[in-house]
Amino acid sequence: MIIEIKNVSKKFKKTEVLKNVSMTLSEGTIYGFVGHNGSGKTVLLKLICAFLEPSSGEILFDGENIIKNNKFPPSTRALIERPTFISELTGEENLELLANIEKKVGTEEIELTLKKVGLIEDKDKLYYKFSLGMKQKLGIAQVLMEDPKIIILDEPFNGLDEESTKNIRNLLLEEKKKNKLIILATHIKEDMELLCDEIYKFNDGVVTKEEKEEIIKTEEEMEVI
Amino acid sequence: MKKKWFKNKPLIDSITRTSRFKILELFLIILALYAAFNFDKNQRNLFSGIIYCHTDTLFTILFLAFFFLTTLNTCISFYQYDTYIIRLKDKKNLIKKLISLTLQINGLLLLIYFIIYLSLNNLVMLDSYDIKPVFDYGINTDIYSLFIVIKFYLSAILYMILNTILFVIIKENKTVVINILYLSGFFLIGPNPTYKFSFLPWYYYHLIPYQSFRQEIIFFMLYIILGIAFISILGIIGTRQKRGVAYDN
Repeated sequence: MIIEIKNVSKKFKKTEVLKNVSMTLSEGTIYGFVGHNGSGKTVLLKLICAFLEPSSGEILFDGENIIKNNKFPPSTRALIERPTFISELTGEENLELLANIEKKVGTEEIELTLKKVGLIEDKDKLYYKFSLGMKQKLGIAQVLMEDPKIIILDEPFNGLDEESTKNIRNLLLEEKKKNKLIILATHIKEDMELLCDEIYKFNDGVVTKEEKEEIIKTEEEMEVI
Repeated sequence: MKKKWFKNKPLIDSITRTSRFKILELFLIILALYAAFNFDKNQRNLFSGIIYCHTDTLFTILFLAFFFLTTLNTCISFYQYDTYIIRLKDKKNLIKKLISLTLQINGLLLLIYFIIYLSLNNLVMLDSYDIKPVFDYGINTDIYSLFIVIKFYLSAILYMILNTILFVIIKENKTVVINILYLSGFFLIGPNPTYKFSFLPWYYYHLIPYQSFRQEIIFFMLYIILGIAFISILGIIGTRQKRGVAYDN
């Protein structure tokens, strides 16, 4: 699966939040989207998911303009901003509700995914009783459970403790080995260093491809300041 | 249908548990109370009460406004479930899911409303079930009240579906503007007996004498068929619209 983003711009009223963005993303790679809050990372993720429409330009999935064809991206799962689940259902029931739409996976796969993300012991707990970290893990579980070809994660480590972060990082590296295309919006230096193969820097809507080492060095310098 | 209901049940429960929805439920009770006490003082009985209420302009506006708000609320709430939406594959499925949700939620509210209304109406009318002739139709108020209720709710269901599709196509703000204009139309287009078929939806909520009961039924059926055709065309436009499946701008 290849995603081609061609000269994409996005305006909200008069404010241009993405300016003529172009990039080609291919499978077996983890892409890091970095940049400060409001730099346009989440907007681009929403555009890729067809939750938003570009003001100009196009996004192609294996050559198909899915937005023009009124489709959502094929074999794509995303966790963008805060995950939305049904509060009165358990974690497992929430995943079952989602899995029942395409019916690709059953209870076995759901429980296996819950085990992978470290939620198996809390599978019968109601969602509204979940902590922030547990909610985030469930959000990651819904992304992974159906074995999608494209994985989109927006700040996935928010609210996770050190051990869980390490576990999810390993899971993502495993997914990469399965030839998945992974997009990770992050501002954490370790994520870029340990996970990302290619990094795109977002700065007030302008997106540039950066050398990984350069970005990490800049981040380190910023930390010192 | 039963299977579909249970499939949507968690979503329906979640949407109807919000505080916004609780306010709408309160409005529903007020609406049922208003309807029960909204009757012709000169013909105080159950059947005349039903006819009078369901052809009253203010009641119609309040009723349609209520179901517009519940439809809008359902659409807005569902759009928050992006993890669910991305799995629907395309815009056609999104529209289908939204229509099934709005119809199920509104259907449930309609049932609750009607039970409250009929119970209250029975109490208010103090068991007065007298029947009277209607225009020169050769039928009585019992049959005509049933027709009026069917006519009213069928039109309301079309209105709910129309609003759901409009929400997908033109988004929230424009849908609100169109509905304000539509509801304002009730003040401009009053009952005007012409004995001719009219495309204007407002006519079908008024008490207008036709040449015969048969003519009224035929004209209403024609209106419903045209309404369904219009909504279907709008649905096709919605699914083929080149603007994509975007919903957040």
